[in-house]
Amino acid sequence: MSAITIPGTKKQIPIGIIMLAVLSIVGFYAMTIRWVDGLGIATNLSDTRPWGLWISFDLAVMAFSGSAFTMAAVSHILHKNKYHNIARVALIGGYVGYLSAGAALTVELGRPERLWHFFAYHNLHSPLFEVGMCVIAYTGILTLEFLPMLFKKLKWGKMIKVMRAIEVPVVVAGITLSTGHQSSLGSISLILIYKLHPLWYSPILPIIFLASAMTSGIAMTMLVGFIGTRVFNWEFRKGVFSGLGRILLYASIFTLLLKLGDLAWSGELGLLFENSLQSKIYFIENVAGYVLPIIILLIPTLNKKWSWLFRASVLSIIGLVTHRMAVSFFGLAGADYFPTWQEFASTAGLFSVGIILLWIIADNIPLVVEEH
Amino acid sequence: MNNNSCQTCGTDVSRRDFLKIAGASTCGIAVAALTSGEALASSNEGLPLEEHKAMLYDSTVCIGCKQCEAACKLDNNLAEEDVNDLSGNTFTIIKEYISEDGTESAFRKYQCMHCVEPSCVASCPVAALTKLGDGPVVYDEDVCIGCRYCMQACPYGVPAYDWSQAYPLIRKCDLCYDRPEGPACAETCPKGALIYGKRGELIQMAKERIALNPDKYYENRVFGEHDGGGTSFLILAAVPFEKIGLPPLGNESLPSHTHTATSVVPGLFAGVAGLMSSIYIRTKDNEDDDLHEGGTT
Repeated sequence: MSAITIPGTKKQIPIGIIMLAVLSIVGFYAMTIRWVDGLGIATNLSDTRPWGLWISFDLAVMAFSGSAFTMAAVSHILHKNKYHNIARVALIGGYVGYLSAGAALTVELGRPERLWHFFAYHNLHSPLFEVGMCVIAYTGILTLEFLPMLFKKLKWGKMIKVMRAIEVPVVVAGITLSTGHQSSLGSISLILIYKLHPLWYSPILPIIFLASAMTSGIAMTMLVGFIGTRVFNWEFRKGVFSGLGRILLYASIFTLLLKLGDLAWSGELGLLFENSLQSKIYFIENVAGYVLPIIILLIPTLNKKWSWLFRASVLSIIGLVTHRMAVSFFGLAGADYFPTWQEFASTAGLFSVGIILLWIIADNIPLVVEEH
Repeated sequence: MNNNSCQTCGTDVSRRDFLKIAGASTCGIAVAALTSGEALASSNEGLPLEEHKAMLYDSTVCIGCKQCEAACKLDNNLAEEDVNDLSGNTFTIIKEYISEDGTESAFRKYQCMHCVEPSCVASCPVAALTKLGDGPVVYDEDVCIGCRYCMQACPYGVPAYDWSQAYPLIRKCDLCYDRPEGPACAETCPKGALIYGKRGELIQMAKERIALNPDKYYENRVFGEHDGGGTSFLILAAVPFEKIGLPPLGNESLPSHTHTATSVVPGLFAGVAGLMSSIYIRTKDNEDDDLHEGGTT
């Protein structure tokens, strides 16, 4: 890969990171327009279209961050030890994901300076309060899970021992909080019964959100693992990726059946063929996100090849992003909406900062270490 | 290598740790149970429903003079603007519905419906929106974080933003809750199309009007007695309610759809924590086998 060397040092920065840095700067400029001139100028949001692309970004990024708890469950709770290294990668990915979703709140909220109000005021009946509390608590848990890696790097032996002593309760608490939070992201839409298109509205939305987040979390783990293998020469144990492919297959089948079963149960299968914008988006979401990956992962000659496992994971991620866009604007009744360049640029910028952060961490802390 | 611990992540946990896990999850459940009990207790305060402040709007009496709009602007100190919907500076608006063939028409006063179980109140994460014990749904602008969930959740499209502000606040009718004479709009109405009073008495009045004119009113009922769990802004109309922008909500309140989901949370937490802990214990003894297996597959 081509890279640029920092003058006077041997440090090399890949050209891709430089491009992401440019995107971050443009994104930051777009964010300042929101902070200075306001939401009315920086976005195409309105009273009947109060949520847009930023909400989709938050929902998608938080779903991908489901990689952290899903992999923690597989590796630490089910004791599938071959996944330890990649679970650590998933953990970092999730950590960075939550941080960028948090950063998005600084443009998205009308009064971002009051984010701390989550601690001071509460409405226990609001799914969004539940999401907020779980995200805050879970980010704390992720910090605790991340610290041992940092301490190891800093060679703080005593602190490592302390962290090891509390590791299992921390992992269990993390999984518990994630389950609550991924499903409560779905609960947010339950009150939108007259606004959300029936293709997506369902009383079991919390379960659909949880299942799809776990599915895409595995896909994201595979994707980050693939990229790391190329960029950082990470070496995972044999069978890790095909094993994840198998888990992705089961998770995708489960989630797809859950969604179609829900439509059939409520007698809404006919909506699939109404040929509206919504039905097309539903097709993209489910054919790209579930049907194609399932086919790829079922074919024995393909489901062991990296290139096809890579494709399956990317498709799965596309499906998830489409779903989260559907529940945040495509499927919601309201004014016509197309994001402004500021919305696009700030979203791309936040995403870029996340990738750069991930690169910095992976470049400095040995995430994938020799075992035994 | 066979010391029953994982070298890379340092999992070296004795059974004692499960006391910690058990302890932590029990605390979690206890806290969750206590807090949810508290929430239930606080939602039962206030006057009985029939005593709530309310307004009755009779669409068949309204002449569309818009004096209520002007009175609202004046009393709430709102800027004049050219809009055809509720907005950050328009808390009430009169719209006229005319059927396509022009034979049927009706006015409708748009404003906050002051629901009995408001979606905005249920959705607001920081409780900036609250339902007062005597009926009005009010907003604390010092608490709001601007998430706009209320705007999304309200089935009547009431909460609005002043989008020209860099740090906007939610704006909506508060039933002039702190005005001794009651809402400015009702006080101004020259035709008595808008009447302020107690919810129980107004529903009674509406039913009397229906009884006097059995074929005049749509479905012979008052919108808001039960719709969406009931409202404090009650509407009588001669045309179908959907024609004047009232959504067909049924009698169930919208927040009831989320309450089920939010109330299972403590149980869910306890269940997941317990399940994960027990799986951990069950699979822990297989660790070395698994490590070996993991290395060869």
